[in-house]
Amino acid sequence: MKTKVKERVNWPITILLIVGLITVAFPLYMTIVIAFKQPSEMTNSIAGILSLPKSWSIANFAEAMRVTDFWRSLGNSFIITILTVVVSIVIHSLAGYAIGRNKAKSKFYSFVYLYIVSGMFVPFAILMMPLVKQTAMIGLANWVGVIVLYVVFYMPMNVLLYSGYLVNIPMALEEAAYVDGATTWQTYWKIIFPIMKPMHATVAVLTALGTWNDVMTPLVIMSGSGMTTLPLAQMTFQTQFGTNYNLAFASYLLALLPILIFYLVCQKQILNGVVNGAVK
Amino acid sequence: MQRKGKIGISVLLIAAMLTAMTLTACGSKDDSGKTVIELVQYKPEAVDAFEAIEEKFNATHDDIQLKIESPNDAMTILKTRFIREDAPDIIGIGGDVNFSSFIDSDMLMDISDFEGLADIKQSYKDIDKALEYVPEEGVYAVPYVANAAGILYNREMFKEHGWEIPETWDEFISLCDEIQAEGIMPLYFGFKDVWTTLAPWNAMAVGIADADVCRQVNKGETTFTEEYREVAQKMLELLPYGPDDPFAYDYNGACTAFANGESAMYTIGSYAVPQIMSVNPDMDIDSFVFPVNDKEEDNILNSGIDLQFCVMNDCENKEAAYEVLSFLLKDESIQEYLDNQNAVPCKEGDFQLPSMLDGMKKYIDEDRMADYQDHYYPAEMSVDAQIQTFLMKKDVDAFLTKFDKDWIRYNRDIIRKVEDYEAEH
Repeated sequence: MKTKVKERVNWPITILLIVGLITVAFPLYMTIVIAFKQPSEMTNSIAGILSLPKSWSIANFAEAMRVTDFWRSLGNSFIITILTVVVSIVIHSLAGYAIGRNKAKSKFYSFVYLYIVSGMFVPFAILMMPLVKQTAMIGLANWVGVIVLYVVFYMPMNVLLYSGYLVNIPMALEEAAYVDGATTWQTYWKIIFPIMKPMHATVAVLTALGTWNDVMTPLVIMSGSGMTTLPLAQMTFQTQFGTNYNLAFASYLLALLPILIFYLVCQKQILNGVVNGAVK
Repeated sequence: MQRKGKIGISVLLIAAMLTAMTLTACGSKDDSGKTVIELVQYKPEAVDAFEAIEEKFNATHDDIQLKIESPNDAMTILKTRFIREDAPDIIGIGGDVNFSSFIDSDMLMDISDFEGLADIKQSYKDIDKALEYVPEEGVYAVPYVANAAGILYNREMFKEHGWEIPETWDEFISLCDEIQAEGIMPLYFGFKDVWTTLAPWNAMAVGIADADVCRQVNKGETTFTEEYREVAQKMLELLPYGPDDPFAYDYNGACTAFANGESAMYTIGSYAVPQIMSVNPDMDIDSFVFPVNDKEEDNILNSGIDLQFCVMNDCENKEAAYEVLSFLLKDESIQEYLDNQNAVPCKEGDFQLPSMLDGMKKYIDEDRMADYQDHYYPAEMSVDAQIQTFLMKKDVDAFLTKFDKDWIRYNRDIIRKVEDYEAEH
């Protein structure tokens, strides 16, 4: 007779995980269910709220795509997000490398570091009005200006991340490259840049999430330039005296997909990167 | 090597995108020598009506090109455009505190020589006049359409039970008792969204207090404790006729409940009708004026300017702007708007009103209207939240004392302006 090995269950952790799952899955369930319902199916009773839609028609999604001019808004959001992420990774990693490797021995670099990082404490709300005026004066009241602003806004955070990560990368690698005759520039692109891959992924995820979901910057900077991003276009579902939750949720689901895919791809990179970069 | 190639390709792609974008951005100028009039209006829900009006205007005018924009969150967009000194020629905004501050900043053009003003109902012109912090020379806006607030009721339910529209406060309370006795909830509230507390508040305040009560207070002639006591007390009397926990439902929830026949009446304005109809498209809704007084003739319809057009000071071509205004004020254009949105026209004339205004028609025809009092409340004072707190704590004296105290605190600038003005005149 074989006795079954009894699997031990860690109940406290399991319960915590179940609670966590519910808090994530329940709003998602509501979003999906509401996105498929018609406005006439909305009620205030608990059973009515939780019930499944009468028919799983994609009419809401089609209507939401029409109202938001989905493909154009999506394209605009894509251009702004991708350019912001690419420029951020290149400029911020360079800055992070220069600052991170020098701030221990140079007062100038540690001042620059503190100066840039202190930018994190300046809220956007108080910068908004002067920025609107300045961007208009120098002809940047358009999507290019929005990208420039994003690159600046995410700089403190990203420089902090990059220079922090550099502490984990041994100097020995750079010294070895230097012995082999590489210039600083070559050392950076061939050794440091690839090793910082996990940090690139982190920076990309943070910057892309923030940029993709942001409403305020495009609203005040690009207003009137005839270009809308997805979050801006989605404001159309909420007017002063009415909200169409069904269309809005359908549209939110559509807007969520690209950034979700992006996160899933980059998350793998972050996990892979943990084992990289060790000196053997 | 491979990496270098990738970077090179990325740089090329970015450059290509940049050039492509600048090329498309340059193609939108109109070179035909027409005068371009740009109109930005703040009601994105009325975009269809305005697109139709724009098309008709451009088809009949060779020398003027009208461009109407209906952006989301137009007030933010307008304000940012004012900051960068890129104002449109005409703006379509509501008769609210923003309008007051635009006049105060000398941004709007005096249009008292515009002929179309003669056809506008006097009470709406008075409402606009009253919105000025201190009386100014001239006219700064053409009222276009208004909304009306009071009580919406389920006409089918009323017919079924033989209920009559009440005309006095006693009739209203006994009607509520009657409805409750039949096991139906008389009123619905969505006080989770604080602004909805202002709907019954305004509708009752216009019947009880003077229309210019805020100005009287600014002049120091009276206090809110004196003027608003009855409003506050009657507000509390409504609560037992609503849901058990009126603070549990938001505006959308209340609209849904009313649409599903959970209550016979709902204290909100005509602006809620589209939201209610989206849940129940076949519903027969009508409305009546809040019967807050003991005599019917004291009741006043609470109606405010929902949309009005102002010409900006920076507008270079006044004649063209007036031509656009005249076109907008044509009966056909107004009817086009009314068919699309539920609204009360501000122009005199025989318009076909939406059926949900049947019970208010008498007041509209007789021009017995007064503005929403909250249009004079400063936003940072958040009167709506104060009313919500009051409805929870039910302490009339504490609420009114705080109201008076906060009013002075938040209106210091305006009160000083009024004092200076009074000293001069």
